[in-house]
Amino acid sequence: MGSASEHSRFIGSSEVKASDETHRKRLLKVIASYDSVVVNQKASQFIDWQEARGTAAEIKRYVLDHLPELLELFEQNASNNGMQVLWAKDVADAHRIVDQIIARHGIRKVVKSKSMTSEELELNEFLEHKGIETLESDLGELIVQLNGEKPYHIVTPAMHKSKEEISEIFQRTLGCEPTTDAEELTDIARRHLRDVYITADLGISGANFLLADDGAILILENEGNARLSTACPRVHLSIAGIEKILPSINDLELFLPLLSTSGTGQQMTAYNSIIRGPRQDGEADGPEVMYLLLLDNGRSEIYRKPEVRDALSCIRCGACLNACPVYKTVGGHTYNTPYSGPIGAVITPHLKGMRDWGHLAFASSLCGACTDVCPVNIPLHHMLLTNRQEANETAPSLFWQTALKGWALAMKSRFVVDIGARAVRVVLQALGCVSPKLTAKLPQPAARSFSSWWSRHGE
Amino acid sequence: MESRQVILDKLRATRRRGELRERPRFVVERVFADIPAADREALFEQFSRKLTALKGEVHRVATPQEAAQKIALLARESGFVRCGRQRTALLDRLFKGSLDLESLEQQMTVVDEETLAHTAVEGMQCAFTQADALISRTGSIVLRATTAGGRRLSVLPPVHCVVATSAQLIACLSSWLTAVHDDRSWSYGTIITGPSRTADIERILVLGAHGPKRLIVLVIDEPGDSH
Repeated sequence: MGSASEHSRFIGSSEVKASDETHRKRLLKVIASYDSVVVNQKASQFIDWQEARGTAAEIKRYVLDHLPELLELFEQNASNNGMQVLWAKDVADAHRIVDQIIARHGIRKVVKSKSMTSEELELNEFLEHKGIETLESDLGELIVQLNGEKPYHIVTPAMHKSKEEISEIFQRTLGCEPTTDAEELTDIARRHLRDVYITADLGISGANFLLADDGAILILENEGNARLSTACPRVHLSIAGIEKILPSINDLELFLPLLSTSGTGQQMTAYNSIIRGPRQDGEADGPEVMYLLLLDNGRSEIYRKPEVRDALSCIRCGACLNACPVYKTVGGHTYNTPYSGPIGAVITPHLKGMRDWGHLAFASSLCGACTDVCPVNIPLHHMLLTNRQEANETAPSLFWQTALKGWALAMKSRFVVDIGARAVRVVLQALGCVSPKLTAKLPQPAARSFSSWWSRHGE
Repeated sequence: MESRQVILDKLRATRRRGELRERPRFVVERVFADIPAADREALFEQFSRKLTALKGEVHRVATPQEAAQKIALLARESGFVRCGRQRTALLDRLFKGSLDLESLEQQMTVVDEETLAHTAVEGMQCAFTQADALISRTGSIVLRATTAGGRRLSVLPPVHCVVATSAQLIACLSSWLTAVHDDRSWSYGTIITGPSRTADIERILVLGAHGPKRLIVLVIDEPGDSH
């Protein structure tokens, strides 16, 4: 059930977070406000939400069934657009590629827009280690980066921070005046990053979708930082998981509102950028070079396993996190992995190893709320059960090993079962002697057991 | 090259469910409950209602002359001195043909296919661009680098003013998606729905996170012969 270190760290952190009332109240308040807008958006925009997500699920399952072909088609179209498509099988591979890009273009400063794949690669640490200044530009990401933290939530990275805490972080790291006004705090971040977009040599982004038939990538965002990060620097690098494919540009009509409805309760995210490559002739601006890094990093392992393969349909909306009673109690950081909540508990053990991360499958009540809200119908709670099984097979705990062996042994022996049954009777009779009230409503145990009766009268 | 092969081989070694099949398609009319009727009034009404709800500003004018007056008023009210715009026939007519806009036009950076200096965009208080189309269902503006003066002009300045015509109003995204897919001459397109926003701090809505704080759309009914 997971390595002692990660597993016990999870339990330790859960205990702290679950009893931190301020933390829990803030989280519940934020998620409650999310919940109400999502419900309204689903009802007002879609004729039938269930139908809509069924259609989306069908398209994503088609993608999985044709993944190698669609990846090749995407690569071909993207290359024709002038994009340079690169493939990385794991973290080391991706680091090597990023290193080459940095050397080739003499990169000294990087501006990043939100990207969960870059969290998988721990890219900020990697770049800082190389002496490259790296700045997050999404407001939430900037807040956690300045405070030396990891993102708390895949959509809302600083969900756990109060205005007061953010003000303190900005005072400490940016030397600004104290304020608890959300507008002023946002403006501090805006002013802080203005020059960064213009002085950075490399913009790094993620991608929400890769369009196979068009060879374009999609980036959804509300703030404009991704637009600026991909428009201003002379080189653009986008990092995307190999599962991000959509068959056609026409699928955007469904997937853009689907993702924003589930992600934030908006009908449409403010900016949906369609990027085909570097600046073309006749365009006023844009990067000279654009790279797209296709990242495997364990995804082909998930692909290999029929029970969890459909988890690769995930569009990273974060709805299952917001619905999960365990996430809402223990918080995002307790998972200690880029992908938290139910989807994190499903995919992380396959991306990073069942032995160390199998315990995440047990951080669930199996209530099915995650499956219920998933916009692409991933049966998340069933997959959590599958993971539990695999986790027990991979690294069963000593307690379970002993208990299950003992149970099997006892059930195979008439003698041991009889001892057990007799023990229950003795205990009940003893209780009756001590306090008749306690056993008054219970039926009296029969004078003798069925098995002893059968041994005399049977046959 | 090696990693590419390793990944593709691994995917290919996995059995798929059933045979290769046709790409699933969906009918927009069966998915969305809020598709407006295709007449100009209904399209404008919904576009305006949706975008206004998101704190976008929508103005409808009859002629380019009226649009020029509107822009002059806006510039006066907001104290715009340094602005930027695209070089297009419609915008040329708007700015060059108006006495109201003469002083603004004299200090304006006009952007065409020449490379646009960062500094020129950075100092702008407002950028005027055109767009490809206006999407009524969601109150969105769609544009491409080739039709809106590049990537930065519409995102770096604090105010973005889009000049469009009511003939550009369409109900849904689909027809635009199909049209731009066939055109291979652009590298960047975006679907804009409201001014830049964030709710990263305690889910409090703040406009103008990194992009424009104000998004203004001028819809001209009779743009005249240049359009």
